[in-house]
Amino acid sequence: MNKKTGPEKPSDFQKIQEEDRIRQLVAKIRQKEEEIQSLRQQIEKKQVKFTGPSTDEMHEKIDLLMRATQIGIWEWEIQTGVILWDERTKSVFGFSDQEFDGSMKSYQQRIHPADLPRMQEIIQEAVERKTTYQVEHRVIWPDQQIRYVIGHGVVIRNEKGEAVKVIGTCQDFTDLQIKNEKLKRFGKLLESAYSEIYILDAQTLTFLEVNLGGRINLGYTQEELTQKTLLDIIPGYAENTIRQLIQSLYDKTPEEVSFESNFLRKNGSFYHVLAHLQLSADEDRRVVIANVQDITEEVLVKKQLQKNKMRLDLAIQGTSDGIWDWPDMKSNRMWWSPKFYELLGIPEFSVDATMENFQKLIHPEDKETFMEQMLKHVKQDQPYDIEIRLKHQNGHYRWFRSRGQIFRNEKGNPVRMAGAISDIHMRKKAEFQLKNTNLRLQKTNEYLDNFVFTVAHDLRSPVANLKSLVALFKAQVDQYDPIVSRIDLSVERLEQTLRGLVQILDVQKSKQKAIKSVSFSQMLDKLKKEMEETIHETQVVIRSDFKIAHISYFEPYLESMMRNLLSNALKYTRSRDNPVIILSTEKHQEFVTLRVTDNGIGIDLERFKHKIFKPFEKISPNSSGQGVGLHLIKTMVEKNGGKVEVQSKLEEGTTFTVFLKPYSKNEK
Amino acid sequence: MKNKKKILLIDDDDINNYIAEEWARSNYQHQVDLVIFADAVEALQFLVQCDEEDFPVLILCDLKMPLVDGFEFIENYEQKFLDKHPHTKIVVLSSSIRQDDMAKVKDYSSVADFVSKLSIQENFKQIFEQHLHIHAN
Repeated sequence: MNKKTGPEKPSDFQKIQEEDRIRQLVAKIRQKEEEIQSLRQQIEKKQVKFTGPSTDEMHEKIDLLMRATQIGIWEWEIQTGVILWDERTKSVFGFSDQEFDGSMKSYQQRIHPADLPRMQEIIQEAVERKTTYQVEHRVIWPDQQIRYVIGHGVVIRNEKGEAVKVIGTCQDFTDLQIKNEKLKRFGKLLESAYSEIYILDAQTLTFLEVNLGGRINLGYTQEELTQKTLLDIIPGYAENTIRQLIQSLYDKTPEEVSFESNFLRKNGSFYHVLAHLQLSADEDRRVVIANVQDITEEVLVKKQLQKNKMRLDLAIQGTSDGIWDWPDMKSNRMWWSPKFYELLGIPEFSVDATMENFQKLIHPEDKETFMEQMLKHVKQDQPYDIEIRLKHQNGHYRWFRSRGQIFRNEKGNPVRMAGAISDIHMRKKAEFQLKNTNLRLQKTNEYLDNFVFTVAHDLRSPVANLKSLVALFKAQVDQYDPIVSRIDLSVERLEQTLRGLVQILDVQKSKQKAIKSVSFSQMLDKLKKEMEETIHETQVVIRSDFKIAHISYFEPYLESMMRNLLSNALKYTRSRDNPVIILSTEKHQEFVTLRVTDNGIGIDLERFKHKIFKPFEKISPNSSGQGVGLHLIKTMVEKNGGKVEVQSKLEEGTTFTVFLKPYSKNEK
Repeated sequence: MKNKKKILLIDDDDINNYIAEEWARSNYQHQVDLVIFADAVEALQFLVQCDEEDFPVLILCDLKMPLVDGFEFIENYEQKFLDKHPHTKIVVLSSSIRQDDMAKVKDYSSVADFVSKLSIQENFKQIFEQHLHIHAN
């Protein structure tokens, strides 16, 4: 031994101490080995139960400790393969006291098959080149319960360094594992929850933790959030308000407080939230757990609904219609809008809104219409829109337009009906007045027509007499008399005018006559014969091109039109060289056009267009006509759904086109 | 003289009758023997006592007349004379052109025509030319 001991050589001292400890340990191990050896012998020879080290004080202490920590002790002799377990190890593996036979097979059977290969590997490795090892694995109990076990082992080697046995401990940590898993699962759920969950420091209001939902909506990362406080994302709230809210949680009056606000995202936009705050403790500090719901959409929908309701209310108030609702058609009960009452002069709610009361308001004469239309609406889905009289509070009936619509259920049965009444009394009154006025006017017109007709016809006879008398007088008095000659002229004019007037009246008065198929060429032949003299005299050439040969029409009308057109054309061409008149027909849309073209003197349409079709307008002063021909044509053709047009150039000729609307054979 | 055709005119209008008489005398004096009555009853009486060979070939009759009107005259005429004188024609003169009048009148087999009243000269010209083939002098 060296004298030089002191602080300057602590390493030596430490070495000695270390060596001592090793020596002691080795001794202890040897002793333990011997003990175990003897115990093994006892077991083998005397079948004595292994109860673990129990002799000296140290063992008792260890045993106590093991019991308290529920740690089991075991030994495994590698060469023999014998396994020694204490009671606790047995219970960890789900064996009762005498059940375990100490074989490797029985032991391995209890290990979760998924864990076995890994365990064997670890143990193998430890036996080959390690002193200690640690392994976690699952054990399956006979009742299929799965337990989580942690095992520690120490490999004991002989002088040659060969592993001879392994001793170790085992401990069941299933409860802890379950707790951990629960926590893990819970954390995962919180993290992925749809709602946003913030955990804040109750004092500083900084974010400690924000789940995925919150981070996504806010647009911040977890790191960025730890630099921020709740106040940063609620710029609209004063710090005091928030703190007061949290303070109220300390007082435990409410377990939870909620508030609505707008949260500011990283990108500067806002979203509407409903936040619930709770106070909790995390380790040593108070935290606030905020459960935040994004209610932007709900708020929008709510606003829209409010707006709609407001709009509907306004519509009901603002409309001049009285609205009614019959929410359940099986019941008598209805709802009438305030305007409904007002329209009927009934003080609001002084009469119950019922179907029965509504029907009582209907004028007795209109009840049948009402029931009929209602039934048609319900049964045949015909629109319900009628005009009825309803009794006003003042005792008089007023005209209303009543409209409504039923609503059907999935089976198609009517369940509800709603509608409106609008006051049309003034309109209806005006309508009646108009009807009356019309009737009166019609009568007056008829009277006037008859009057004019009678006058014109009655005048014809005396005028004709006058004409004859003048002619007689002239025949008897041979001498020219300027007075008589002017009387003659005046009578002539009077007679012509009267004849025209009668023609117009006759056309206007005549009702629809028999329609028949008329041949254009036959009619032309007839007219040519009639006007033979003039035609011969003027040497006019009349050509025809009737692409449409026949037309269903009222023959006298057509004849009159053609006669007038032809005689006009003859007049216009009277003074011309090589006069030509062309008549043609063709189809034009729904019409048949009759065109009469001449190469006569023409008409100054700019001057005369407006008067050409008016009665008693003569546009050539020296013509002998009565000035009614064209007016007659217009009257007749328009009366039958057609029209007449004129084209003309002075000194070149005129074309009249009559658009005749043919009658179908059945039409009258 | 024997070639003259006897024509009966029945009309209550004196002026008309005067003109007719004058006009017939000045324009148809050699062809027509015009007998005029202002009353249908008198006309019927005349026809009753009329000689067979002197019976009118044409009767011009107004429709609207007091007492016995044109329709009644035709009715009576057909009862008494139609069988004996099937060749005598009646031409109705009317200032009315009412359709139903026209239709009614045409139902009578003796009625040859329905003519709207114009001036005498025009009516005579038209009727005489068409039914008797007589032209004015």
